[in-house]
Amino acid sequence: MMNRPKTNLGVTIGKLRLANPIICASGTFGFGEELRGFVDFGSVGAIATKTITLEPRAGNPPPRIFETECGVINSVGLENPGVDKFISEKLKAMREIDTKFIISVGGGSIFEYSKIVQRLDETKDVDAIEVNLSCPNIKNKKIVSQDKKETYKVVKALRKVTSKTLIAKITPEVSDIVSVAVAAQDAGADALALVNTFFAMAINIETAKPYIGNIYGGYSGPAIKPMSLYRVWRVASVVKIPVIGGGGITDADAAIEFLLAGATAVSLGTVNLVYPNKAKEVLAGIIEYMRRKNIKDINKLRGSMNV
Amino acid sequence: MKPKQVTVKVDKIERVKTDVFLLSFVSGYLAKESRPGNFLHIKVNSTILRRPFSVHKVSGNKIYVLFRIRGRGTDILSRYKKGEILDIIGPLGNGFEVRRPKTEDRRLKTGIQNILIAGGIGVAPLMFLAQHFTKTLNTNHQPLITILLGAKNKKEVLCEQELKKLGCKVYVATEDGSKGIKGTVIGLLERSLWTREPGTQTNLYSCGPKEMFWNINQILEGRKDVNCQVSFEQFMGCGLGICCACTIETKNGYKKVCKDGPVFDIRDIW
Ligand SMILES: Cc1cc2nc3c(=O)[nH]c(=O)nc-3n(C[C@H](O)[C@H](O)[C@H](O)COP(=O)(O)OP(=O)(O)OC[C@H]3O[C@@H](n4cnc5c(N)ncnc54)[C@H](O)[C@@H]3O)c2cc1C
Ligand SMILES: Cc1cc2nc3c(=O)[nH]c(=O)nc-3n(C[C@H](O)[C@H](O)[C@H](O)COP(=O)(O)O)c2cc1C
Repeated sequence: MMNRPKTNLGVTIGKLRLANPIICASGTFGFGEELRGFVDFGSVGAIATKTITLEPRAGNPPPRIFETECGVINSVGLENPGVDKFISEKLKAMREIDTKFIISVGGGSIFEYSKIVQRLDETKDVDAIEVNLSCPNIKNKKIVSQDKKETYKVVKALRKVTSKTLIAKITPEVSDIVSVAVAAQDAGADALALVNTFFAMAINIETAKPYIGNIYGGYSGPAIKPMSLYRVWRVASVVKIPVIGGGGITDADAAIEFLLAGATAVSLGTVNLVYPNKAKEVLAGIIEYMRRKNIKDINKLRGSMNV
Repeated sequence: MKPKQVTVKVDKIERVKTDVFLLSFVSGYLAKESRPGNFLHIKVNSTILRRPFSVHKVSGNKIYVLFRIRGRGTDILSRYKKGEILDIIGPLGNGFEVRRPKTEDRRLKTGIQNILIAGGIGVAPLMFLAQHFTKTLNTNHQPLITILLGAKNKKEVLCEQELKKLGCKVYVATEDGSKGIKGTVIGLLERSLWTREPGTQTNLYSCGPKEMFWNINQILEGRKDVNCQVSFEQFMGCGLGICCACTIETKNGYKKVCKDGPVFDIRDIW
């Protein structure tokens, strides 16, 4: 048998070693276990769970989702069972799935963020923690990552309470995303995830009512891809820590663009709602591209945009 | 029931009213696994999300979907041609709970009344339910199933002949009075409830606009002898219960239409 050199697809995010660079984005893949029997988890490098908070949250008033011309507006509002129930009810079922888990956490204050990260730090089965500093769907709460000083403060506080891989997920809705990214890096984040959704709304002109119960929501899907790509490129060109890039990825070509722009891993969000098994197809496409371009190691692809 | 992602070929799309179409395709899996009230999540070309549609009826291996053009997705779907491919996840949702009379309870057996209430395109899932009833509840008590159809006018009345053929007793209400009674199915429902024998247990099954459910609920105030299941709609994300997008408000907090529903007990809502 001929011994062909194997393609290396593995990437490293902090202490987390992923078998491949595909991450299913927070809020679009549940806790993973709901999709057992439906999804080939071998193609999923990691699952970022739906954001959990210290206390259970009921979420925002419906309707919570609306499709426009080229994207999707959502306003789920972090509906989740709370960290205790997550640990007692979800984690065990998740452990039976052969992939890595990034637990996404949200909070209304540094205190809340610290408490929940502390809880997860003490929990054996948690691979990594992603701090959602960018949810657009909490009323009367400022988005932490719209302010670089706040971002620094929160990440710094969390760095003190966990030695696990800490990922800061930041908003694209800021005038200088690079300075926010750098603040998170300087405060000790192991990696960055971007982008979260853009603010958006839609109005039914017949009833004159907004389509989203909470009036506005976060925009995702194909429409945001060029804007996400730009931001990922800007950030990845400056920071030294890995960037999980995404926003609008629907196929392998788009994923490869993010890798070329400097992302270490890519995230699939909205597309999972339609094709839960998309990771498999995207991974196959990346492998095919690497063969075609004679790239043996995915890490060689990173940031190799030709300018 | 286990939802699966399947690809099917359009067998036929026929226009049944100005803006109502009947889609059919073959899928052994969906035909075998679907229950009345289940829905299919269909990916239509050049939309982003899937679109939910009820199983309208099943005949052998063939599945039928009855839909009205509402916006872009349904418009595109109506233009599909025979042989084109559809990507479907299904069957999804809880479905109607079919309450059977206990065979040992003879009083109940004679005193059961099943009324299906359809507002417009809401007849879509009720056809499959009627099919199910007429197949499984084989008794001599005629008519076993009453179905109330509401429409804007005579031209818009859906599925009347087919439901009659199944053996259902069909009553029609139109807003302009061009067929049946003038008014809505609520008027028809009030009549059915007044004219029944005392001691009857009534099961209502309904699909249609939310205002119709609200009006039904008003009639049911204090009527313990009448229960009612309604199939709700909501803008939907994944359809699999993972994204928490398609929630509606119930007495017990937000519930997911795709997973906890789409069928709810009306008394859990108001
Ligand atoms: C469980 C369930 C079963 C259904 N069964 C049927 C059926 O058998 N026949 C039928 O004609 N219709 C049915 N509907 C409604 C149907 O899904 C919508 O009419 C359709 O999604 C509209 O898509 P559109 O692109 O044409 O409309 P657009 O308004 O262009 O769609 C924009 C977005 O809004 C969503 N949307 C708009 N109206 C509705 C609605 N009423 N319910 C849910 N989402 C909506 C769309 O899915 C899409 O995400 C059902 C809905 C649900 C939830
Ligand atoms: C329905 C839905 C729910 C989401 N929930 C969360 C969430 O709980 N936490 C979070 O950090 N991001 C959440 N997001 C954002 C996604 O993780 C992702 O960052 C964003 O949608 C952009 O990527 P996409 O275009 O591939 O979807 C959600 C997105 C959608 C569509």
